[in-house]
Amino acid sequence: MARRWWLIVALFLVVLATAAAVVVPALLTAKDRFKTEQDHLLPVRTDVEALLTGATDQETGLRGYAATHDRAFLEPYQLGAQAVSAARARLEGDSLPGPTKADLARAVGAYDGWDQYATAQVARVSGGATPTTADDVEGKQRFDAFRAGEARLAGDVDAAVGSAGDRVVRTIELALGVLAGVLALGTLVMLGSLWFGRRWARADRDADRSIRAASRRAEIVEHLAVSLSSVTDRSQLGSFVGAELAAGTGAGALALGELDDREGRIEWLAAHGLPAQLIAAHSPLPVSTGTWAGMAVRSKDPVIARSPEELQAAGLQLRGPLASAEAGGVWPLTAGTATLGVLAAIWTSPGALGPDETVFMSTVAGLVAQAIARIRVIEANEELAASRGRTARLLAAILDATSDPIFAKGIDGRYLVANHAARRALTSDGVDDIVGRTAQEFWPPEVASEIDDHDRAVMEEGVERRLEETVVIDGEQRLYSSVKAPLRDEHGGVVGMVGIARDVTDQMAALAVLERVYQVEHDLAGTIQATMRGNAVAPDDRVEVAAWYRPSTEELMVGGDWFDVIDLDDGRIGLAAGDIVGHDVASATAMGQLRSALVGIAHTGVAPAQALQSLERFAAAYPGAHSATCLYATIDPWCETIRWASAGQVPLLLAAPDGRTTFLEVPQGPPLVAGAVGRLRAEGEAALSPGTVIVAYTDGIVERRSESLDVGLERLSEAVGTRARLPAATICDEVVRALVGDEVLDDDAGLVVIKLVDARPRTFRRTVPALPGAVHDLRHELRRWLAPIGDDASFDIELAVSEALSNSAEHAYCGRPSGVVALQARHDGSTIDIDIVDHGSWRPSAADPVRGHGLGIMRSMMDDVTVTTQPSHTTVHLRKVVPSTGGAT
Amino acid sequence: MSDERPLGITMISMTDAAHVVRLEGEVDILALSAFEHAIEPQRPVEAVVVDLSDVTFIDSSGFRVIHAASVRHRVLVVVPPTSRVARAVAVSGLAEVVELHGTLDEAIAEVGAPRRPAAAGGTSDA
Repeated sequence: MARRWWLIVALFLVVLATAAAVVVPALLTAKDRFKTEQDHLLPVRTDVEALLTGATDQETGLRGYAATHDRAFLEPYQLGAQAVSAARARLEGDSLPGPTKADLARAVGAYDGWDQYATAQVARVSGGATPTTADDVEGKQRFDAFRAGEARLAGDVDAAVGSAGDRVVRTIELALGVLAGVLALGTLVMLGSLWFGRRWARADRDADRSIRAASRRAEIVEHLAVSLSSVTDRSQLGSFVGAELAAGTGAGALALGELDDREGRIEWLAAHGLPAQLIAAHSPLPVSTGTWAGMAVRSKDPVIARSPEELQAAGLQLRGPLASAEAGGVWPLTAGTATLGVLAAIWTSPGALGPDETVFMSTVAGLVAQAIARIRVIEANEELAASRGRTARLLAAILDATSDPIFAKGIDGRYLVANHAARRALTSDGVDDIVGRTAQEFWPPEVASEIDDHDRAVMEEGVERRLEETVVIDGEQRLYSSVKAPLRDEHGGVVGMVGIARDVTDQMAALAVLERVYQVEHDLAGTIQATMRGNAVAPDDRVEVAAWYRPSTEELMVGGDWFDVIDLDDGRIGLAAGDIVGHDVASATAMGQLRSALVGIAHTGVAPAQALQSLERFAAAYPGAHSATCLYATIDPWCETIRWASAGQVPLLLAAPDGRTTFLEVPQGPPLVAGAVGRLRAEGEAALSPGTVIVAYTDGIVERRSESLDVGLERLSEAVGTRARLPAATICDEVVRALVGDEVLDDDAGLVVIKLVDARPRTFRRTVPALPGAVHDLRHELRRWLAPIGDDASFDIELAVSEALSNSAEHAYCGRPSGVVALQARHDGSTIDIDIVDHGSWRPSAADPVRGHGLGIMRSMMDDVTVTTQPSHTTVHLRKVVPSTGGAT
Repeated sequence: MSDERPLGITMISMTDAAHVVRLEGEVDILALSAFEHAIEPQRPVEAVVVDLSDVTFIDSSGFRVIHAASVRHRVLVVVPPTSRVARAVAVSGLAEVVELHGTLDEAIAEVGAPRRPAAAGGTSDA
């Protein structure tokens, strides 16, 4: 800046010097010319005067001579004539301007006229004549003419002298004018440059200040982020507000409030520079109020006043040192989509809250929000740990209150846990500590080794065992029926076994007989029941299939209902459903035969009506199958159609993705072998679309004793329609829970849900080493899988996934052995859910502010991000709602 | 191993003023060390220009390198405002520590006009 100013002064001096260089020589020249002209004109003037003086001397001499005739008067006369003659010669030889020359000629002419007269007079007087009055008059006239001429000539010369003077004066005036002009201009330029210079300097200073302020803010943010990273509870957060945050923001007053979402109010965690009574008076603060904090929470935007006027307009009444508040604001603390609290701040220095500071404060608010979020996670973990402790104590109490011995053993056969009853069975007083001891220490060798054999088998095979063990307690043989199951850790590895034993010595004696009677039937029923779910597996990925079945509550009554989902090998899927009258072994057998027959018929590829025609002929031979109801449908996911024929079976229910539902009631025929056997039944056809849900169900689902069937059907229709967008398995679970729940049913009940999906794979699963190259490739594979949802959504998901995967892969950079990372993605119509599991903990590094942005980026890109940290592994769940891809078959 | 080309990095020695790093392809954890190496100028410069115009993907691995460089240098980042990468940059918080420009020309003009456009660094692959 100073250099620029001096440049302008120098420039001004140069201009001034140039002006002087022009003006001074001009002045000197003018002076010289004036002197030359004067030198020239002054002798001329003298000569002109000499003309008059000489002529006057002549005239005086002539008059004296004429009056006295004294010749002495002729001396001045002649001297005058000589003077005139000399002056005249000089004048006529001079270079005079034209008009002056003309006047000189006229004056000299007039003199000559008078001189002739004077010469004649002298001659006449010397001749003795006395001049007459007429002569005098003539002489006087001629002399006057000469004098007039001489006077004009003198005037000319005087005028010439005067005009030379005037020119000099004008030149000087002009020079002075130029100098004054240059001075004025220079002054203006200097003043202007001074003014601009100040503005430039101010702009420079402002720019410097804002750069310094920005870098300082960046340092503060980094410092705050580092400080906050070590904050693990609210009291630390409180001291952070009073110390680092107050220093970092420069605020005169700060208040940090945490939002209690359930109660809709703000609890103040910490305040700085505010009277305790003020905080107490507003704690808790309902967010429904028109306070700034309330507005900030509701709008999720900061509420800010940048000047005392805005503060006043907001009705903020402050006292004490804060009465001079200049600016203030309340920032919502948001993490992801959740609002966790507010940060209020007031400044007492003017201009403290410019646009940059506002952004800065939002950043700070984000950091504090993350700290609160982290504290909540920590608390939740502590709460969980505490509740685990309570649960453990409660469990121990329950165990001890049970009269059946309950125990657990490690893989080495040593007791890990034993309840009171177990301790009693093993020791005489029931108080000895048996943990860490083995069966060998309590039982005779042969009993102990049998027990050990059972335990080992359970642990090696990893399956539950139900067995009877005979032991001798106090000399009496007791029969224990025990259930022994493998004890697993969270990875599923067997780490021991757990057992529950019941003394059944007395019951067994009574039951032994009955047991044998029912055994055969029981086994048969169980086998049939087990097959119910076996055939509800999706034949390919164009459909999702889910099924649920519960036999009626009479233990040994097997259900007469059945379902089969059959892969017809030509791309179509067969759906068979039926119900046999009766609940005994005979009807169960008939059911089995009908099922087998229908599956066989279906595999020939015939249309539903033909299939039922064939089945009816077959059924005619089995009395147990008479009056059975049955339905057969073929679903073609490629042509998106369903065809069906029904023999008195409850109608199939269709639900479109938008929730509209239809029962396929027409056509409907009589039960099997109830009319003319072998006739071709009517067949129905309906169009399907991707996402359509097809539901087959038993009477037990919709029939209730107290109400009409229509009510039950309506209930089913609504339960399915409202869930039509969910996966088949979820629809099945939720409909069962809604319609059956824990209700005790008279009849057996079953439900099959088939959902038409896109041909595209619905899920994506990979497990790769947590290494940079592997996660890079995994991301590319996922990108190809995501292709149908469009580039923008795909990019967002890819970026979020990359953040999660990179975090896992960085274990390798930390010098730890790299584990594996597993990714599972599911595209469910309108949402994509991704779980990324790695066996490390999520590490938002404190020392690196951008690292923390990994989570921030994930939250920006996805609709939901949940990080679940367990001691052994971390799960990152990502969810994004994507535009539906429609029927892409 | 993948259908994408690895990260291409071109370092252009412009004026004494700027060290220009042009990236092409994907800037992720795999490209980390190559990028870290490329962004560091070999001689004193006024500014480092990172050109993301031809980058198809970048995550916080890349942002972290740029952020680290911004602590030591004045950093200008070129990212076309309509690209998807711009979306990633927007949520990365980089704008707080670097200057963002839509074109390389704009960024170069901000630092100073190029004197010797000859490539001095060549191309290196990640």
